Amino acid sequence: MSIQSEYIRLVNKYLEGGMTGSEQYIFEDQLTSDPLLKAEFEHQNEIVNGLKEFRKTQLKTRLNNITVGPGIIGVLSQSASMKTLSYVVTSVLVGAGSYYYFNSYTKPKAVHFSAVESRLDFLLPENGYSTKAVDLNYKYNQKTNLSEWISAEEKENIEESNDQAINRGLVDFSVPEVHDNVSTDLTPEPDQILEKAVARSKSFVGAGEFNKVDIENVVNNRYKFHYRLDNNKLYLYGKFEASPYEIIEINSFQSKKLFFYYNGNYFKLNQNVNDISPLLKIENPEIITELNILKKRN
Amino acid sequence: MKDREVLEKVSNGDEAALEYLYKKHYRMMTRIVLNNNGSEDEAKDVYQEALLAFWQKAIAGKLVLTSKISTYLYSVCLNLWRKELDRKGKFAESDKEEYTYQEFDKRERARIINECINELGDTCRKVLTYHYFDGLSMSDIAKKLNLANTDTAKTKKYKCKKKLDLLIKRKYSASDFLD
Repeated sequence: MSIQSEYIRLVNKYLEGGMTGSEQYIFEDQLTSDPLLKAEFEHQNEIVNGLKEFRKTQLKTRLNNITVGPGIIGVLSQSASMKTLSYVVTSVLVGAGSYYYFNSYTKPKAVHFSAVESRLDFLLPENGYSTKAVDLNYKYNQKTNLSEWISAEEKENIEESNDQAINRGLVDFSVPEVHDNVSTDLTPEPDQILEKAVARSKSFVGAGEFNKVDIENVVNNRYKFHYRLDNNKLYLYGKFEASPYEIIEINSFQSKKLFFYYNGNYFKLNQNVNDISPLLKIENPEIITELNILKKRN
Repeated sequence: MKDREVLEKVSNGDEAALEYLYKKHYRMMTRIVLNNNGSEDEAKDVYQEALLAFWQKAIAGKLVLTSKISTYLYSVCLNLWRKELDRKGKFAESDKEEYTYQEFDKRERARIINECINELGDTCRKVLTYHYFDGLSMSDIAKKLNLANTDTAKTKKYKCKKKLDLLIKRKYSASDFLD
């Protein structure tokens, strides 16, 4: 065996981890002192590295042949057309958002103006602004709340008047309103009550045809003396045949109050009651007196 | 396929399991490099290196998984890319010339060795590369290559290595390497 063959054998044994601890120590010591052995070691090391690289390249080539593309979202997000489309969509959304956002500041709220228009006997300009002073020369229109209480002729006149108002886009103005402090006066003199009631009765109007409350009697054994107000319709639960009932409707500038008269008693109808609720009798003598006056007057 | 099954297959040198892993975690692993100033090619290379390191360790039986395979691969990719970034940073312009010369010499020798490996027969190539890179035992090589037994594989490996040495020596005189 030539010396080179012996070197190759030793180097291979070392590279493959076939040496014992002492053999390894002697070999490493010999490497530092024998240039031929060192050269053969480097050469063999290069061959082993070459074999490793060859196999690595082989495996990498195999992996490279696997189709691993981005997912559908990735493909879409990378495509130029989708990018352009996304820019366009974003621009449109931002534009629309800005338009509505800034418009909400400049454009008067329709609800507000419709409320004013319905109450005032004048027209606002189309853009919703007016530089003129508000003309408060409105007219009163007294109407009863129950259509059956109105004579046929009067009813006709009212309907005609309201139709005209609708045609003109106007609504007759109805004046306020029972003062909220009515019941706070604990010991009112009978004369004062009468004066207040008369004064109020002059300014009050009954229900207009627009606000007319529809009534429906519902037979339900569970409820004896109850009501429900829903969408300007009064549902009465129970038997109400003992005497005729009446609805007193008081319209004011900002609100509407409803009272139910039955069998000599008044009952407050709360408008925000969507559930079936019991009819609660009004006990306050002042309110009762005022309602009596209003009832007789109409 | 569960991690345990994949690891078992990879440990037995199942290349289909390697392909499965490669495909499964490709996007997640390459994103590490792509999100850190790396190119698509660099990302792919780092991931492949990590996967092959996993492959070698698994076959050698040196891999004890304490986490998911994806977590392991992620950390290897991260480390490899950090090393690569460090190497890029340290690779100063002044060292470039000397490095290029040394690299050229080394690459030339590597090219010749690679040429000689290609001249070997298919079985020889497989025996040697399975042994040196994959780290498969002689009995595993025997099974994989349908050889009679472990001893046949050992003899084959010895003969193939000798053949390779001779091929390389024929192309270059001893002085080319030993000077």
